[in-house]
Amino acid sequence: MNSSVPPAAQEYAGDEINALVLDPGSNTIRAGFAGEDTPKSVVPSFYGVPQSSDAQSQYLFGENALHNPLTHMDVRNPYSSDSVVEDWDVASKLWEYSITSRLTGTRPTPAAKNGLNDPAEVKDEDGDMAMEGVEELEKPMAENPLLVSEPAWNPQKAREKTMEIAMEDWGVPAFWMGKTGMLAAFASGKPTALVIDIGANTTSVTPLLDGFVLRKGVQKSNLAGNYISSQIRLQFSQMTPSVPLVPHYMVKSKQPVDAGASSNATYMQFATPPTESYRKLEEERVLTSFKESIVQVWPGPGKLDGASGQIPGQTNADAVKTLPPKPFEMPDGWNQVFGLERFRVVEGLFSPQGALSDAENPVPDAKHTIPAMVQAALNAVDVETRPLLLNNVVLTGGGSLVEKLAERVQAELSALYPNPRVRVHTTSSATDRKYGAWIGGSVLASLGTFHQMWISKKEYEEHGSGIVEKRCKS
Amino acid sequence: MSAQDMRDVLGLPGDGARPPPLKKQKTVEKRPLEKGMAREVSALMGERAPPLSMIQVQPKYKQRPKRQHKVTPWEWAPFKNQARDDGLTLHHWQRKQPPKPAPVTDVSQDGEAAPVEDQKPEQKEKGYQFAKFNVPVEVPTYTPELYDAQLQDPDWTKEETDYLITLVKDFGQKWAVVTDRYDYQSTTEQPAKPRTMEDLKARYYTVSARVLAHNIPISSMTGSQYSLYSLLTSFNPVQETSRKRLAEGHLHRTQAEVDEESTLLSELQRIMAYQSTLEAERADLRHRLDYPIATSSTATGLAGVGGAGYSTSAALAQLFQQLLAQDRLKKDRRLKAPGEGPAGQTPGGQASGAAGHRDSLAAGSSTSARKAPGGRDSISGPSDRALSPRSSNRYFVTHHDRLSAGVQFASDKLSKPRVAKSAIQTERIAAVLQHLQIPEVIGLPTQRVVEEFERLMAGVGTLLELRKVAEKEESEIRVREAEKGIRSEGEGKVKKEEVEVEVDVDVEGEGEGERGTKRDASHVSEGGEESNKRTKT
Ligand SMILES: Nc1ncnc2c1ncn2[C@@H]1O[C@H](COP(=O)(O)OP(=O)(O)O)[C@@H](O)[C@H]1O
Ligand SMILES: [Mg+2]
Repeated sequence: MNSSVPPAAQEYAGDEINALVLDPGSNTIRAGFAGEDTPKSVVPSFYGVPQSSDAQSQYLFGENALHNPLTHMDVRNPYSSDSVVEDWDVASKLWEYSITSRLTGTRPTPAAKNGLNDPAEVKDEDGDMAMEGVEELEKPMAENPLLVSEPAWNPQKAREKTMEIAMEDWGVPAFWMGKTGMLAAFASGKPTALVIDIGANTTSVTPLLDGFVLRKGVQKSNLAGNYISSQIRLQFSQMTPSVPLVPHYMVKSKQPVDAGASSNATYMQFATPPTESYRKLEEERVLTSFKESIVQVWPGPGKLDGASGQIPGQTNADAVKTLPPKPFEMPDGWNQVFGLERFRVVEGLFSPQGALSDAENPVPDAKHTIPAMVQAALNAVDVETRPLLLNNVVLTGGGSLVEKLAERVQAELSALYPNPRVRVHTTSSATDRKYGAWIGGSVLASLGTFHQMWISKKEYEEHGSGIVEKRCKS
Repeated sequence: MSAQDMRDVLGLPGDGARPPPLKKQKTVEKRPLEKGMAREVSALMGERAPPLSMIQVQPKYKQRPKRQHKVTPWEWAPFKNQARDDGLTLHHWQRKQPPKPAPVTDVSQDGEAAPVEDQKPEQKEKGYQFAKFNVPVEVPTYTPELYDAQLQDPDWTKEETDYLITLVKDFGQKWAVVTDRYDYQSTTEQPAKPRTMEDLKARYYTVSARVLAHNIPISSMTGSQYSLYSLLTSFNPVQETSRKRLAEGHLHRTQAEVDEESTLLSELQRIMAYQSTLEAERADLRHRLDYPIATSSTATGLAGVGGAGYSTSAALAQLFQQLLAQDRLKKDRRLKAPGEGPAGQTPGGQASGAAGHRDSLAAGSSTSARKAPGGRDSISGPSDRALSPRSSNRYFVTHHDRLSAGVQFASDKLSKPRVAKSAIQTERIAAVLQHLQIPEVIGLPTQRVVEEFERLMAGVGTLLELRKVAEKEESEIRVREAEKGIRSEGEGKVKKEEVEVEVDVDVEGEGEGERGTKRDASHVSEGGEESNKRTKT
């Protein structure tokens, strides 16, 4: 195409205004420029707290700092188990880090905000216009409108707080907030959809009509990525012999060993071993790779322990046992094949009876399984919207990448609702599903018609942070 | 041939003083100097080219395309959106207005500044291109007086009504969303009433209708306004609720019910498909009957035989009506454009006329007109003059527009049409011919005999086609009558299917009784069997 011909803006209705999109999740925080197709910056939501220091500036953010086995480094997460922010100080720093470290360049926190020059009013009294301009530019995002995602159950306080941070600390000229479910549906091009978002802390079901969340239908549960991880841990401990979970940082070198044989590796020696929270984080990385490569959902029809449709008198689990198992190798070389186990660990998302449990890990509530949540969500919306929603089921979130999950959801919902056609839409691209909410935000914020939706700095100054409730109604 | 050779030939002594020409050639063939290499170094290498790696060849690229136009500059420009009232200014990339064709010398100084100034006012005029998509929803507005006078409702306070109207406006009349977000906090001590979507709709529509009627009295409403008004007033929440309840029941049907519905639907689809093939066949038939078969003998023959074949069918009358209508239509057309009817569609009545018309144009005789209907004969040419019609008949002289390649037996033309693609069809043809007492072997395949035979065969084809359709129609009628019987009896489903099956058997039996109808009947009976199976399972 001739580069001197401008793209016809009406063709894609886009108008790029250098907006930033931030999708802060409980596992990773994703940030990037609107209009791009993947977030440029993906930062873990975990942060390191070196025990020696108490100053906040010493917090360690980002993959590189976080996975370094320092002694006395506590690993924490500013999110609650419901994926809403608990620790605002850290969360705002973490968000700012995720934006400034890759996108807008590292600019120091403005002098007025870093605590050293607290009586900032003194400066303003000078009434120097030029000075104001300079100060504005010093803020990290003074030129970029910002779109932030939030869970559908985000309390009003949290929304207002987010807006305050964006406006006051970062100096954004315009701001908007959208629910993750809505954004993920936009990413798959569906303004009307039933979004099933399987994240790290929470799985949520969000019914959407023409881009508006039907709030009464929103459902959430903790049967999500972290729950799968805990099921895998439980499965590992229940197997005979139990599976040793050794994270990478512990291993200095390893020799190949036979399946099931104990590992032949030299381990790192630490004078003071890293903290328990650090070890947990590192173990989680191993578990994630286990999820990525081994774990699979029984694709249906029926439950894993349900009667087999093919062979009478047998369960689906019996059929699974005849399939070839998959091998997995731990960082220290220990390896084993997993058969039924790799199906078992995700069954809890669909049936409480299928879940593994012990004293510490109780059987999940039946109403927290995905089919039950979909049912509850549909019952809370108008009858006429239900078939529309069932026809547009969108799966998103990192946890939805488990193999055959889409097939199982399709099978479960078709069994529940034989009449209206159930269609589960998933993109084949893993990044699109992992970053679904971010991509939706990217699409939305780069639309020309979205321009009138932004809350401008002026409006914020006039109405205060309460305006977010009025304007971000999605 | 060099000068030396010349001298040899002529026996002249060689010119020793001359330098040998070879040397000169050598200098000519000398390798061109390598680029980027000193002459002396290059000489060291002698005649042979150096290995490739030593030569640094400057790659030759395609020439840059020459552009006539200048590259258009883009700029990171501020803009405002007219859909906003807070004057938010954001930036986006936009094209700088190309500089006006200014004097060449000025471009460097003015070209930069001028377009920006040019553009500013224009930008303001045009506005932000996406602002026009900001379409607010229209909701009824009312003054407190109007509310008190006309909009009172014991079930609703004014505050709640106001709240409802704002919600409807905010969510663009998306009722599912309005209902979802409806959360009225009553200011009085009375607790807020729970509202269903139907409650909200009913209230909103009532208010809308009354406000509309207040603004424009019903008597002076335009058509569209009135239809809107009557639509608003005719909302029935009770009916709507029961409809929703039905819809909900529909949503919770079991798999078995859904399966049954889908089988019924596919059954229906099959019937419809059958219907449409039947229709297509009928249309085909009509078209066939339209085909110009001009000679009266065949036409009467057809009428005779066809009439016999159709004596029991009610479809004949219908067909006749249709033919008549078509004929009339064509006559009309002829009136409009005489002689322009396409040859293939020329109806029987018109054929001779049209042909005659054409023949008279070609200055031919009436004999050629008689030959014309087959469509194979020619316009009589000047060579025809030598023979009288009688003698040309006698000596079998014929004229053709075009002759097909190769040699054919005339007798082939008599035997080939008797054989159809399927054996059953062949059988049927044979039966008809036997009925007409046409011998298996026809003696002399003269031109005229062949022509007559072909005409006859066309008739036979039509006849068979008609019979086939007639049989289908009859069975159809029987099915319908049986259905009618069941309906009048008002019996249950089981009974109906029994009868249906009976009918199918009937058709089959009759089909076998009659000659060559088995195929069509089996088509019907297949359906019967299917329905039979369904009742069993
Ligand atoms: N390929 C995969 N298969 C299964 N689970 C995965 C995969 N990739 C990531 N996950 C899991 O998805 C979760 C993160 O999902 P994400 O949507 O990023 O969460 P959040 O939005 O809460 O940050 C983690 O628990 C991670 O283990
Ligand atoms: Mg998420």
